Amino acid sequence: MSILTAVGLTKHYGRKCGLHNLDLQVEDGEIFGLVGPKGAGKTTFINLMMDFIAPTKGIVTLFDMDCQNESREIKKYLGYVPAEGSFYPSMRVYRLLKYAANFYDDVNESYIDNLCGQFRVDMHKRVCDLSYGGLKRLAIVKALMHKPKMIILDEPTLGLDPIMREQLLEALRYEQATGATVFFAASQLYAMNEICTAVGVLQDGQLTDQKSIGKPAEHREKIVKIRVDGDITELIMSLGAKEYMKKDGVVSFLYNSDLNRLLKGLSKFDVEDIYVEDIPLERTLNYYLHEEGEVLA
Amino acid sequence: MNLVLREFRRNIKGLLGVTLTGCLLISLLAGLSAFLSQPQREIIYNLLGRLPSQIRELYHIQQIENTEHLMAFIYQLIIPLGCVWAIYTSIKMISFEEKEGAISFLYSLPISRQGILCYKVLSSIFQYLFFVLLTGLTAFLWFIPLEGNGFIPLSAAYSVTMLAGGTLMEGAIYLFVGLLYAMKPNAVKRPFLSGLTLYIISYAIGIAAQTVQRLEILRYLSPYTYAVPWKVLQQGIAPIEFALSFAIIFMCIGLALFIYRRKKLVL
Repeated sequence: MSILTAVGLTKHYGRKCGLHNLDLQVEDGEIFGLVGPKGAGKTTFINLMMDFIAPTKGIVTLFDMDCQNESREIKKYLGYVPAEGSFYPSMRVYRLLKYAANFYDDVNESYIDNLCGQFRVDMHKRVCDLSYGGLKRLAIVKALMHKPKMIILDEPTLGLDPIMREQLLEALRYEQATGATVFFAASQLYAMNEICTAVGVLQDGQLTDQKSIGKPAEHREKIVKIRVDGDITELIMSLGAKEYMKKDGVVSFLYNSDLNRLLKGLSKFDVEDIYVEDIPLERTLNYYLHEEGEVLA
Repeated sequence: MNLVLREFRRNIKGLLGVTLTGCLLISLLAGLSAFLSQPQREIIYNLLGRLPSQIRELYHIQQIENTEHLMAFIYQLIIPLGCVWAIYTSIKMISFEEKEGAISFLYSLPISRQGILCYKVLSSIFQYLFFVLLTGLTAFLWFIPLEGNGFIPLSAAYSVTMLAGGTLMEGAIYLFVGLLYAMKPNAVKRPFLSGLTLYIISYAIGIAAQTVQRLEILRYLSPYTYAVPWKVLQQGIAPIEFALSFAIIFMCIGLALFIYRRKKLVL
């Protein structure tokens, strides 16, 4: 069942086109990543979903409700994490969270405390005293505190240290397990690669690719590189490896089967080094970005 | 109501400041008058009476003969204070989140834009009411020493009610004009200056309407001719002023709602 549907969604900023005729569907319970270079229209799409701006043409619905006309009802079930957390600077964190909680039904205070502990948010500090990362963490707490049915995140890992990134992934995995859908927009996927189950590529306001991966990274194809003394071609081919290559004594291939079987087979050889990594989602989409987010190929 | 209380709490310092200023102004002038002897009072009243008739007419200064007249004179100073505050608070409140950068936080909460606007306006009305009630109460209490006979006559209650009512009506118009002005992009930049300018412009329109025959039609667009304390005491608030003020208020609310729903989010 589709939880998010966009049909012919277009947004113009004067002469500039933010989004052009976008059709998109996100299924219930998915962790959907919208990826694309800066200025591709990712934030525009989120702003339209959140009813921050109005579309020039087309419609976007969440939970079968129009985001423009029924935004109040929709937002009861939405958690939103902006790219940069911005709140009332003079308010203390606990007051701000309490204030926000009053807009929702049944927000459990002890759950807010737990989230603050989990994301290391000091509830007694003033918002203006929080760091950039602190604001982001506060935005995450605010987004999760009412146990939303859908969480929307704009550049979710921006400003988070590796530990907090792991905490966020863990929290999103938990939310998904309890039935929530996660939608995020990011310039690069690697940070969210592990949990993503579906992905769409946005370039120049248009969706150029959309793929359902269906399973998290640990169950996806991996890149294996082995420096080994001897010929292991027969072994790895028998295990179903793909894109086999040998260069400078290093054998590399794509592997999708049980890693234990591979290790058992390799035990008969003299293995000097072994390297296993998840295949980046960008690669499955034939989409590569360099550090600044510019499309290379 | 969450939003109403939040706005009230956020503005409490400014609100107390302007209310206390109003009360102090009333106390200062009424107190001065109360502690002067009758001949001294008459000298001051005569001085005011000796001002050129054009100036007296321009600023609605009439002969002060009793406490009600004195209060009407004082209220001419209170009304501008309240009106400028009403515009200021209205502009600041509506575009506050834009200035603070918290607009995406507010808009991400389950409340419609109409709801946000209505609650904020409601909070502004409560704040203005607070100002009117407290200044009114101060004026009412000053009748005791001014009348000098230990009790407050019934007519004092009526006079203060009328004067406060006029202040409320005029302030309400400015509050909603301020609301409409707040829809302008970057309106929040200088709210006090904007409020003061709007008030001065509308007052100048009234003076122009009074002095230039061709512009007489503009007289109802100005506080200069609306709820003038002297007239309010003598005749009450004219029905046409009631009708026009409600028309202006409804027009401002309608336009503000229309614009606010379509307002681009400044991120």
